[in-house]
Amino acid sequence: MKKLMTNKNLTKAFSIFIIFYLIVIVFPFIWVLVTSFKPESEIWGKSALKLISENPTLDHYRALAQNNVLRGIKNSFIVASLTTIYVTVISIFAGYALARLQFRGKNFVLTLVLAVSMFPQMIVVGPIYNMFNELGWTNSYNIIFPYSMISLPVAIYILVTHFKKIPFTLEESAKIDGATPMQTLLKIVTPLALPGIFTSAIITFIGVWNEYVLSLTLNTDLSFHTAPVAISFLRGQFEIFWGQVTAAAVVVTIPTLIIVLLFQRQIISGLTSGALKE
Amino acid sequence: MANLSLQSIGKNYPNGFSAVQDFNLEILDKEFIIFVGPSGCGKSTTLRMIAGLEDISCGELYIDEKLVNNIEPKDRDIAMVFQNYALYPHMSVFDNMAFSLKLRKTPKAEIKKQVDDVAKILSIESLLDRKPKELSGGQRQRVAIGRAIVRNPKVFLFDEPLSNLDAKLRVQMRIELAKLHHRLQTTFIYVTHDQTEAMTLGTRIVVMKDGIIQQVDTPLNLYSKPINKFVAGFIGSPQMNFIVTKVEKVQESICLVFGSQSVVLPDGKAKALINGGYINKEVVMGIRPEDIHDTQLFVEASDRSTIQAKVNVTELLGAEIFLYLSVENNEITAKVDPRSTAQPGDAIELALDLNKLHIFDKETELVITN
Repeated sequence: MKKLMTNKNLTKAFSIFIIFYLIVIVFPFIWVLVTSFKPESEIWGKSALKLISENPTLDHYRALAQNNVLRGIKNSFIVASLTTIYVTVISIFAGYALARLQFRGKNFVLTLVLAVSMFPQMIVVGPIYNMFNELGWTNSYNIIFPYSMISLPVAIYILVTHFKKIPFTLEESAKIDGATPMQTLLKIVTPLALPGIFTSAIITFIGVWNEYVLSLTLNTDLSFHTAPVAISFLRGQFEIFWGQVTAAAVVVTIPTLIIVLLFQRQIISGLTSGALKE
Repeated sequence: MANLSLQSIGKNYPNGFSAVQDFNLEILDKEFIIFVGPSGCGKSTTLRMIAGLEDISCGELYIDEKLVNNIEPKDRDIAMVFQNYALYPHMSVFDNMAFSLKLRKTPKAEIKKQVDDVAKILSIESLLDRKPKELSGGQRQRVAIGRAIVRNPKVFLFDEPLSNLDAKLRVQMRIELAKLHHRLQTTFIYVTHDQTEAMTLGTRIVVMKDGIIQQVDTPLNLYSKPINKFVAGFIGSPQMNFIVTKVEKVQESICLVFGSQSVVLPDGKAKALINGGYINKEVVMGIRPEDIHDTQLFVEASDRSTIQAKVNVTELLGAEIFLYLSVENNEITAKVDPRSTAQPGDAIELALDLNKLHIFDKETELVITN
């Protein structure tokens, strides 16, 4: 009985802790959301702490239409989508090869792939910039190639675990049914690995959507700025337009929020499946 | 419809392990061949080599006089039913069955007709729209079989297809498989570790052990004329009793002596031992549980074949009783009439049906006389 009581109290304490923790985590976002509706005069000083503005306004959102943020969102969307498609296609083939084909040095390749993802981004920015300069690729959508390089390792790793989970007999069965290896991959393996493919695609998309350093370095031209870079340019000579920055932050967060809400079940099953024997 | 010829087939793995050695077998058209043996005996490996899922390390495999060693599974015209069904989880039953036909670019109308026909044979018409996860084990197995039949292959391969089903369903499916073989008139090759399935389904049975064929024969011959001690012990349930005995010549008769007891051999079997030079040597006597009797009538009629035994455990199965007995430090089993009055702890007299005695060489374990 006593044990049960302690368990109950423990659960209660833990719940309180989680609620507190959530508030801490969500607080910046709430502040950003609240601020985006405040006139410039209320952003600083006493009224900054008020939850509801005395003179709520949509001016900051209207201003976004005039500056570069909308184009930034369009660029982000193009770059993130292209990268996601490219990474997904490549990682399906690479992941399948690493999961199923027998070849010498397979584990070494997988380790190498993972090792690539461990390079700190700041270190590779310089060389990539030089390379882009030489190739004349700066200020273009070619930025999807370095993005793919960064996203591929994780995508491949997720798909390898998913492909390994698919019973091999299914592939043997397809082989006897007359399917070529390519048909087996496309008609049997890929549909069954969809949760994993979703997960890696979403992680890739969000990663690219939020990327800042490479985009800032490689695409200096305003017309190729992605959303995060465009937001960082919302400043005059002596001030930062915090109202517009917060409004832009809200708008930019919405797509990722929608994606996560729509696909959270797939993401969770994608991230955890393969952990346990089923 | 096809005949197969397996000539000196072997499977060696890179680590030096040899799963199958020198496998020679001619499989006739329309035969129902069973590969049976304990796990790890190479039966599944052999089947997978026939299917083309494993490379053949040495030897030659012919299907209808055509060498197929290096031919892809899809071009061998075979179909296979797997132990775990291997249905495609994301496809409906119809699509599962139609998959191979679609890959062969069969016209849609034709696919529908063929799938419907097969579904009718297996009475799964009502399941065609369902996904595999919505089916019971027995239904899944039917679909897996249906998927194989649809293609109308030359050879059907079954890899322990019933081992995932419960006992009752297994009996039912076994009967259906027998019917199916009769109806399709095609060559079936069937792997199992269950000797009941082997005995009831097969036209011929291949008994394997450690990658080597022990005996290939009809079920009846395997049962009554096992070629060695392994086959004798593997086929039949409860398994054959083995007692190590010494061959002695007492006056004009040949006796098998174990401990303080002995039985006198009938002339035919005695002759085989004399000719083999086994007098005063040790041999293994094998007798099936149903050839040991405890009825008064039988015991009285055959004083030359009676032995004394102590009852340890009795098991009433309804139509018969299993007696687990001790005879001179040997544990043996007898399958007797349910009217038997034997109780645990009793010392009883049993009669062996000596005409059904099997005698094996103690060293080579090969049969001397059946």
